[in-house]
Amino acid sequence: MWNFNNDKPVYAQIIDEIMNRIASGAYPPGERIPSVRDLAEEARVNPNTMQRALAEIERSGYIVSQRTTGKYVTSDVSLIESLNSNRAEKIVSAFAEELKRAEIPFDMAIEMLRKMQ
Amino acid sequence: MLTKLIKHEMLHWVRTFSIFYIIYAVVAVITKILITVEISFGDNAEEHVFTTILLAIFGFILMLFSVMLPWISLAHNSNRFKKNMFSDEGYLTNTLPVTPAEHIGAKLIMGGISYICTCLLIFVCILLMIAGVNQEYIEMNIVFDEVQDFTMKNFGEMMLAFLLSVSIFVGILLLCYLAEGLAAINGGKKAIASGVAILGVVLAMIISSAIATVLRANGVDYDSNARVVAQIIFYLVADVGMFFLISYILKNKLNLE
Amino acid sequence: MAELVKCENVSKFYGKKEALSGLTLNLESGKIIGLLGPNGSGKTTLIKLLCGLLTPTNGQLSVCGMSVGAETKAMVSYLPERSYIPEWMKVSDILDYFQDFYTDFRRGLAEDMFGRLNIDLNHKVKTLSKGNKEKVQLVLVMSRNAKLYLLDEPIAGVDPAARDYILDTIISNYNPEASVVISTHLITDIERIIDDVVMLQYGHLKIHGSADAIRAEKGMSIDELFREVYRC
Repeated sequence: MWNFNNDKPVYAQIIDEIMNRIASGAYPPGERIPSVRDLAEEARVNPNTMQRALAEIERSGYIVSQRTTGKYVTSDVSLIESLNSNRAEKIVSAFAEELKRAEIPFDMAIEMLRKMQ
Repeated sequence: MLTKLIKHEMLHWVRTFSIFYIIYAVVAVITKILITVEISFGDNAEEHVFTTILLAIFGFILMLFSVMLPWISLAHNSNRFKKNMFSDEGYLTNTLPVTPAEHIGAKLIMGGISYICTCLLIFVCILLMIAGVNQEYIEMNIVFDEVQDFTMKNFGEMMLAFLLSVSIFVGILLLCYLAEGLAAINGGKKAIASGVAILGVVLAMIISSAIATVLRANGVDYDSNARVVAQIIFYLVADVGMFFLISYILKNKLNLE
Repeated sequence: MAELVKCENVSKFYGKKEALSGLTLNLESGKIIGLLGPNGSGKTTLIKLLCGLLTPTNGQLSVCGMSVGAETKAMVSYLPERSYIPEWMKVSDILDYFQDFYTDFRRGLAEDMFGRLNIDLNHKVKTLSKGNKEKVQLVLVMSRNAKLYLLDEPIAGVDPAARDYILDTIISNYNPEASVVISTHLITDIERIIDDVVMLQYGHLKIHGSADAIRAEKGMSIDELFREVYRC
């Protein structure tokens, strides 16, 4: 589940993974996320590094901290939706680039995607 | 921490040294049985040469053992020091929250206890051999009375003699520890250990007699207490010196491979 | 974050051979630190100096502001490369021993871990497999609530599953007031868990910095950096 690339900063990769979980709804809006300790053990990383990553996500507003009860995903659904559309845009742009390079028409790709759904 | 160290020294001692006591006790009991049998035969010597020979053998073994056992206890203590401080175990021992002085002290105290218990055991064994034997052979009461008298009359000298033997005893143990320590920091060569030990003993004897000579030259009586006191002082000073030297080695020169 | 370890111009000579030279290094508490370098670079010497098994030829070391001695030994938990438990001891015996001498020893925690590892407390340590012996020593070391943990090659002779267990134990034992120094060659295994990196070469300090900062700056893993720095 947690696959790391050791030549990039670990904390950056942690941020990516958690943002993915927020965007995909694996951590639903308004819901509590696991503690720093539990996440660190699950990811097999240093709790310090996990804390840094979470702190940065908190700074960008996707996570909210309640001092006594822990950390929660923001209830601001629109924020998460824009996160999702950003994610989608990145992936789709990259895919579009690949299609262009391979000279595959967009319509063919759209038809195939529709069938896969 | 010192009490905890001593506790573990005792556990180790019981585990590794009691076997000697058991063997000794067995030999003593067998010898006693043989003595009793031999006496009960009275004058019928020809019919039980076998028992007599057996008694001679066991008696000899017992005597030899009795003489050697106190020295074995010292060797056991010295070996324990070497193994516990300088072998692989040393990684555990030297990282304990304990000062070198406490380490040395605990083993020294254990050495003393071991030696005293061993001597007591031998004494008990002698009593056992003599117990119940016909009064013709020995007059224990008279011996005890005479010893008591002598002690009372010469209490001062007895105390000094006791102090001297304690300081020499501590000196022997510390010399062994020092020898092991110096050997350990010089690549563990056994020759160094033996060399240091022998050198130490020789030095002690030379200085000891030098003191006596100097005192005599200054008109001090040969038999007086002053000579004993001077020697006690010498040995105590040597003991303290060796203690500090060993502490220094443990604190500053340790290099476990 | 307090200064947990302070080395000022520390040198260690074995006769003429220089094991450490002019080492000046500060370690903060609350960090997991990878101590890296090839054989002979001075890693084990540094660790032994911090435990009090060696004294420096020059310079000073302090742990929690105190010179190395009986008091610092009470705060330092050391895992040597070799097996140091006396042969005759059972697991329960060494537990008693640690409990006797270390006030910060958490016996319950140790027994829990032994339970999970299926290590019988009544077994003699010498009858355990090599991997289990190493686990026993590691459990003992991590069950102490120390301020400085010094682990010398904790995962080297151990199978991959046990390695994971050891690293998980280090992570779950994390305490912001303590630091863990891991000296190892198996850098890939510890990449994710180290905060800081200390690299030694020929007894000198070559690199000291945050692992992530190094990754961001050099665009390579610590393992790759190691191979580059120590290229033969």
